[in-house]
Amino acid sequence: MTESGSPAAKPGGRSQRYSSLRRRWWIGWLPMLGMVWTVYHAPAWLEPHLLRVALDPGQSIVLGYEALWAVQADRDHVLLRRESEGGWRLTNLSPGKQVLWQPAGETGYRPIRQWLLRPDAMFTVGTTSFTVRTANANRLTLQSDRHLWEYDGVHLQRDGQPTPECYPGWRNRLRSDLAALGLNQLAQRPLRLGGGVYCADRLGIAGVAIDTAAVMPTRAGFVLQPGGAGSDAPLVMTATGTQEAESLERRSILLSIDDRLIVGRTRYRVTQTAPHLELAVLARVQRRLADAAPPITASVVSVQWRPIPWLWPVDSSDGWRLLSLALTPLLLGLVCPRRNCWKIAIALALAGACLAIYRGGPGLPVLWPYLLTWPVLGLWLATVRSPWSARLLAALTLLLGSGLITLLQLGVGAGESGWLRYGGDNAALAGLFGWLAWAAWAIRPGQRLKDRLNLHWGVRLLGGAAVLLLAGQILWGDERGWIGLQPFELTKLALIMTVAHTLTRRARPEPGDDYGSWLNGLRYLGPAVLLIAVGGFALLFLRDFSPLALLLLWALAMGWVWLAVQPHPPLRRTGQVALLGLVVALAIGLNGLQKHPENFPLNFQADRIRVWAAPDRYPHAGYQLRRALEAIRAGGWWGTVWTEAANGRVMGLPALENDFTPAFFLNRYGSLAGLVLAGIQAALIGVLLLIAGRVVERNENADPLAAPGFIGLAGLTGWAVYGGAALLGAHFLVSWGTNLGFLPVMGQPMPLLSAAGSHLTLFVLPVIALAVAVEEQNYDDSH
Amino acid sequence: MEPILKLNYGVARPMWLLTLGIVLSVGLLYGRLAAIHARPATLPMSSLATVPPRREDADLFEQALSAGLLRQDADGRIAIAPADLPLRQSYQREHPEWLTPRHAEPDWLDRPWDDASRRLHRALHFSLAGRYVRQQIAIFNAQHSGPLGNRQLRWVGTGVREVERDD
Repeated sequence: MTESGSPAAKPGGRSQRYSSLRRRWWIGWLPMLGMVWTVYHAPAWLEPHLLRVALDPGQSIVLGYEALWAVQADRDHVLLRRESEGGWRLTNLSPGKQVLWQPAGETGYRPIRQWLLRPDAMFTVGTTSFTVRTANANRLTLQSDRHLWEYDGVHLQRDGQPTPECYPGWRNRLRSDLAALGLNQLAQRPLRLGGGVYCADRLGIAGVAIDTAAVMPTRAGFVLQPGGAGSDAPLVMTATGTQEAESLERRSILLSIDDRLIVGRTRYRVTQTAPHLELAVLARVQRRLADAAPPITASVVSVQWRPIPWLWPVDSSDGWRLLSLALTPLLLGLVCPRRNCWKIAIALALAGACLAIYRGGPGLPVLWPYLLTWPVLGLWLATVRSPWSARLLAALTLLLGSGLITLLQLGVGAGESGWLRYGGDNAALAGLFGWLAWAAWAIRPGQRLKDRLNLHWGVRLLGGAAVLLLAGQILWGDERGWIGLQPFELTKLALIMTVAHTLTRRARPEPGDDYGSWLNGLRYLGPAVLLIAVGGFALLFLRDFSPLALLLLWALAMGWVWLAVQPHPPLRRTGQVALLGLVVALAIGLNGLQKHPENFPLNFQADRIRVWAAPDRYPHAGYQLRRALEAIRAGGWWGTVWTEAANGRVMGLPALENDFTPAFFLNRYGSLAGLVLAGIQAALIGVLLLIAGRVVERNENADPLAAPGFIGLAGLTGWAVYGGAALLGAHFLVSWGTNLGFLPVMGQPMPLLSAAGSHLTLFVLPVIALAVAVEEQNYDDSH
Repeated sequence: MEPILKLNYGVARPMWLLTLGIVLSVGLLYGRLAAIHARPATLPMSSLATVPPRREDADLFEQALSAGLLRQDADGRIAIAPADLPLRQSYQREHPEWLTPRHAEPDWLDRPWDDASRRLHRALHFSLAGRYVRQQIAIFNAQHSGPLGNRQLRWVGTGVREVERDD
């Protein structure tokens, strides 16, 4: 930053800056005011804190969602029986829903309908009996009437003869290869019992539906548990031929202190077993309004209630854990000799607190993540010097603020406590990113380090990491992600950086770059093409097609930018006309498809196209869209939040916290607020494009000898911001289109509004941080 | 480095473009929202329909019935083709020795099997509409235990009914 260029040194600069700071101060306070209003206006909920069940020995009682206040539980979900010697036995009665159990001192939940297969044990499925001959962690041998079955967790053998693969394919070939290398742990899968075929992971049983029961490989050995077929009739009997014979569906467990349970979606911990059974509620429970009389449930169950923990933790140990994570960087800051160490230490401490909240339990106070996030937004707003950075951050503050308030409303207006986690997680992640960025800003690497940065390898490293994460998702994850991440979000960032790198070199060739022939030009396009191909393949493989629509819109925008930097005017103009023609053809094609969905040429996702064209005909496949439109109509132009504190019927809309958050926003805050939101979103995209344009223009005019560092890093960043803005714009378009029905339903979150942690921290915030960094550099160098 | 003043000259033009972008976005969204609020039934195509459209579950039920994926037993109950029928079909061709021995249960392998049957089977077992159809069949089976006689199965409204034969 140049001293002479400081705005304070210019006439009128100080008053201008104060006026600008005043405006930013108000923008920074708006989300805080929104949060205060949301909390003030929230219904007075009470949540069950402790359930006490009083039964005499020999008595039993059936409990369900009413008495247990359990979310998504059945009316009669569990049978609780007091043994004659005083112990408590729990049986799952629900035909289709599990009860999960984590015995005291163990890690991980398991279904209570689970039976460990031990040597000589017998069980029956339908009318077929099996005897366990051998059972250890790696191999199970079962004897049926006529055959001996062996299963190693990967392949089934009948009388020593391997069965064929059920569905041959590369995934199963890889599984076989891993098993052949002795890596069974990486390749294990359940053995499904039932159905009409014997194959690698299916043991057919005549007259029994496929997946009636399953043999699961676990650390303890192989266990038998009900499969996914579901049946009202008890088809699986365990321990047959002994006095302990019982139906697998009616297996019971003996409860001990510190056991944990999940009934429906609600988590409990056993805190006491004598004289009464006490269950402490840990997470996700139904609420009741404080001024309404509690419903009459089982008389033997009493409930202790508590209000929503806004500011103080339910359990003080949660607070201490959080403090310990935050204190470590603070102590390091005290002993650090550098002058701005305290700034870095505070930022890292607050980032640590955000991380602890994100990883922490649901007992933490609701407002903590929000109170840690608003200050960092305000801090960034007050710090940036360029008016364009300030406009960008003002738009970000308003959009992120609106998103967090919407998610807070989703949590406080719901009749269930679990919805609060979406806003809390998003706020904690935004705070974590903001404080880490602040620490990085305070460290600010010197020019020498910047010169040493190897952009080429940096971009390749990012691309490589993205491809590795995608590979992990293909192998071990699914459409929803892998290890709690959505790897495609990092792929998007890698993609825009790679393409930016290509465009930088094309727009401003370095010594040695030769674009004389198409072949050489393609060489530089190679990494981008490769990344698009890998990303596209991964999405196709995971059957997650909606990102492809985003990539198409982004590719059109970047194609336009690519053509704009072509040095030959005829090529540039012809290309741009062709691209415009392509966009018009796509629009006409989309319109035609809506009128004649039967013309959709591909098999996959054809149902979504048909639903989009005629949702009335598809009451099941078109359920989400119909409910979204109903919710938007119910909200009207002014919304329902001003008159109804509870969220009401809109909570029945699937994927409300993610893909359909815009419909929730329109329902609660009204369509007028939606127009304001869309206006700010357009402003965000516009400012990003303008910042990118300023950087690219400056890069084109800069003298490489006078500004060597700027040419590479800023040029790359400028193009990356272009790409990021294009992809963000595509996200906004797809999300509005999905919610309002002008595009087929695509499972994509709305940036900065929906709960989508990976999308926020791996894509949206990095793009905005890049734009702010490069604009600040641009501003400092220009003043 | 010398200041590049040109960068800050063109502020008026970007602001104009920015405003245009915002107005266009808000205007287009307003148009769509106004259409949604103006007519409760405003949905693509639906306003053009003059008769209530056929539902997907009715289509699926009747197509599955005619393709043999749903069968009427002698007692009038409806049997559904097993979920692993595609695998059974392929094993009948390629590995018949690995099919489970059948006893008295119905043989689902005697019907022609093509891409249309495969798509229909997938819809019946792995789609929301299929799930609903199977639930309705379970309800029908729980309520009916007598032979159909001179009646036939039809999807009426939102579920399965017995109706008089057309002929």
